[in-house]
Amino acid sequence: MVPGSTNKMLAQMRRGAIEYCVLALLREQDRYGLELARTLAEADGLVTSEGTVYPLLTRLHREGLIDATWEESPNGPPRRYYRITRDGRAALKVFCTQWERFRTTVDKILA
Amino acid sequence: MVDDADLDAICTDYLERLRESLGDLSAEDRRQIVDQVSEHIASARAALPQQTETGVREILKRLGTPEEIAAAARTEDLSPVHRRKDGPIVIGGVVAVALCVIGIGFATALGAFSGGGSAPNREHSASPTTGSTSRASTKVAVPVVTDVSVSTAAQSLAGAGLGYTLRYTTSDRPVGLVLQQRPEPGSFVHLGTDVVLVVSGTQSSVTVPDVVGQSQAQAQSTLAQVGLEMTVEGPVPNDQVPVGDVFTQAPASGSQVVGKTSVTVTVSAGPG
Repeated sequence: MVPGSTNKMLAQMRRGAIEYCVLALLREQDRYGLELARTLAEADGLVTSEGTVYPLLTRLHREGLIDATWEESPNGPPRRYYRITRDGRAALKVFCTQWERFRTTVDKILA
Repeated sequence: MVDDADLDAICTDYLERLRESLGDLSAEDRRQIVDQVSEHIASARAALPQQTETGVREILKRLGTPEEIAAAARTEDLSPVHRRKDGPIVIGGVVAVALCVIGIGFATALGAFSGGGSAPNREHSASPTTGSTSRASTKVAVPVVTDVSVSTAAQSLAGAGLGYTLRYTTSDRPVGLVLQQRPEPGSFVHLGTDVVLVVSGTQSSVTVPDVVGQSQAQAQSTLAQVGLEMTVEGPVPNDQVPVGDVFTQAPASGSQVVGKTSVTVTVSAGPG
């Protein structure tokens, strides 16, 4: 398989899962942009570069799945903290259930 | 060696290229993405041990090229056409929020993300009695929002029915402080206009001047000119130095310091 098509395959797999990874990262605590971007970029294969997280955050906010507030930072400019909304939690819950089934099915066929 | 202004220029250039790459998005989506990336850069720069070109270039490299970010934006369907289709759903969501949350918290919470630009829109959508024609003709005075934090400025602007967009710069003022605003306070602008806030994103380093041999008052004023504070030790007896003059300083002249640094000087008490 040529490297180009591996990238394409990864991009397709990422596309469906990444927004729920963002919601999951916000499930326990609010996070600011740099923190979210770095966490996702460091998780193997999730995002190709940190900046690509921001169009996604813009869409999630538009869809009402996340919200944001400004907070002072002890050692830098104020930060926009992203927070999961009630709709966001509901969407994440549905995804978790479906993902479990999907993963089991795919694993069974691949095995 | 590059100075802080050059580093600011590298970042501004990157953001300008990003803005251009996002040309096919709506103005609001474009602004939101550019503002978020601008904030990312400012936070990442504030965490750098030193403001160097290598450090700044690494931050931009990790962000990816403006074209990569624009490509990601296109896969998110953030196009103007899609946006219009989604419009009513978003407004519906906001009305629901407005019913649960009252007051400034509401304006701040939503204003934070959108840059506050559409806070007046949202209020209009929550109160159908207000016609959209009045919005276009209503003018409001721009409040003073300099020398306060971004969150305070955001609240004042939301209260006046204005939005804002952020530009970060290097300065010797505390990070997060609004240094400049455009338009000027007192200007009359249409409701919902974005006020540009120039915010201190990273502190520039200051070279400590030589104050040895100056009187205590001269030294204080020399240091104040570059934003440094002075701590006096003594007076300490010294045969060679006239009474009241500074004869040692720490950090030494020529040192590079960042932020609110105090220079400790020793003042002569004259022959002991």
